[in-house]
Amino acid sequence: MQAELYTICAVILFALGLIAFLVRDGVFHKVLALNVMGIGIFMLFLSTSAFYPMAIDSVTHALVLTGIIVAVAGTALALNLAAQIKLEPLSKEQKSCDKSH
Amino acid sequence: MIEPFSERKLHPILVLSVVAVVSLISALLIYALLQENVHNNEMYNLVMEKIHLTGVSNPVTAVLLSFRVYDTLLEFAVLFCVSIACLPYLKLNKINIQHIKIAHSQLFTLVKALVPLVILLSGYMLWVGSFKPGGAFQAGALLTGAGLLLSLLNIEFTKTRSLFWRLLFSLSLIFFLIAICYGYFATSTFLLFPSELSGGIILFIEFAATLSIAATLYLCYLSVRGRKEREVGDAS
Amino acid sequence: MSTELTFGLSLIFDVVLIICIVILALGTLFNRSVFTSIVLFISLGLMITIAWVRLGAIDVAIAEAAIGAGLTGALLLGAWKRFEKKKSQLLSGANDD
Repeated sequence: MQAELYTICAVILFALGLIAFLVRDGVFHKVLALNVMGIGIFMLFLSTSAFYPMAIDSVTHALVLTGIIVAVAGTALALNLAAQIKLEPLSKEQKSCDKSH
Repeated sequence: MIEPFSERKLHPILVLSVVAVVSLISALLIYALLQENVHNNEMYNLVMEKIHLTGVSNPVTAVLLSFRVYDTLLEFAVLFCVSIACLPYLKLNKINIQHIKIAHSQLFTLVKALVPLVILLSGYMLWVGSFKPGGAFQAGALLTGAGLLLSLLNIEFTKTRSLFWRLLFSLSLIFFLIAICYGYFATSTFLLFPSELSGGIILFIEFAATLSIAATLYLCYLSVRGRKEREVGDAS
Repeated sequence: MSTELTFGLSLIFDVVLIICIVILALGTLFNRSVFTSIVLFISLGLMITIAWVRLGAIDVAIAEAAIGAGLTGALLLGAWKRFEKKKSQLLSGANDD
């Protein structure tokens, strides 16, 4: 019962992350959505081994461990690259447009 | 779309269609995952049969550094590439240590007490990974936490283009290659370590991996913050 | 009798934990303010650590607590501060025109 619950939670987390990635705008929301999708995938990995609580699957644990490190490195790179985007100073029209949204 | 702080909203019909498609896909995925014949438990038996050959008794460490050691080698190469990619964004930072001691004395005392403990805990986590949950990745992450504690007091190590830091970034790959060469000459098989020394070789690789992971993650943290303006004195 | 009781209790614990995780994920992703999203993301990371312990993956839980919750949160907060400075510079630069 426990493993099925966590499988459903993993797919829900992945779906929420995917929806937020497609719908929300702006670098931070997209990076957060990618991270939540990653957490959903890790939970899916780990819940497949919970179907047999006495026989733990260590290969999935190792893969998730590697995946967590790569996810944080990818987040750092994404934030670095986003900071290098040179933005023009906002003209008066663009500022009034920004305020109206 | 890629501006850092734009708040445009999408048309509601598009939002509804995205939600509908993703819900349909996830419902199908849940249905497929809850079938009877999807999961099995063969991996446990396979690992437990041969774990005495690896010299460690923690199955996750054995899998990471003995059964799937090729994946770990490539993982260290990925972290090395990340450290190269984050280096150009680092801006130098100058601090004033006298200012810290006088102005924030409670924070200073707390960090002075905690940082040596965290370093000790990281060394313990590295050693205990052979027979209890732990290992190189966790130890490296703890060392990065010590670096983050120090940066609460604006003490940052920013000379990351010096030879010492470049050695730190590549230390895991260097030690890994030494271990692979020794393993090749001892057993004439690529990526196979001799059974009696396997535990020691795994600790050797993990020691270098801890330092490299800590250095790379600390560099990631420093490079994201950008430039800060302070005066006088330089801590490196 | 007692094994059924502990089975029921652990099931209730799992259900409450999963409801907390889903609510935190919703709060992280669909929120107007970036700062609130980042703080809720750190909390989500800590609840996920408990979930990893429940699934029996202790190594992953240690790594997630240190890296997933702590380091990613620090990264995101540092980047947010930098973007706030850049945004205020841009807005004040446009004001001078």
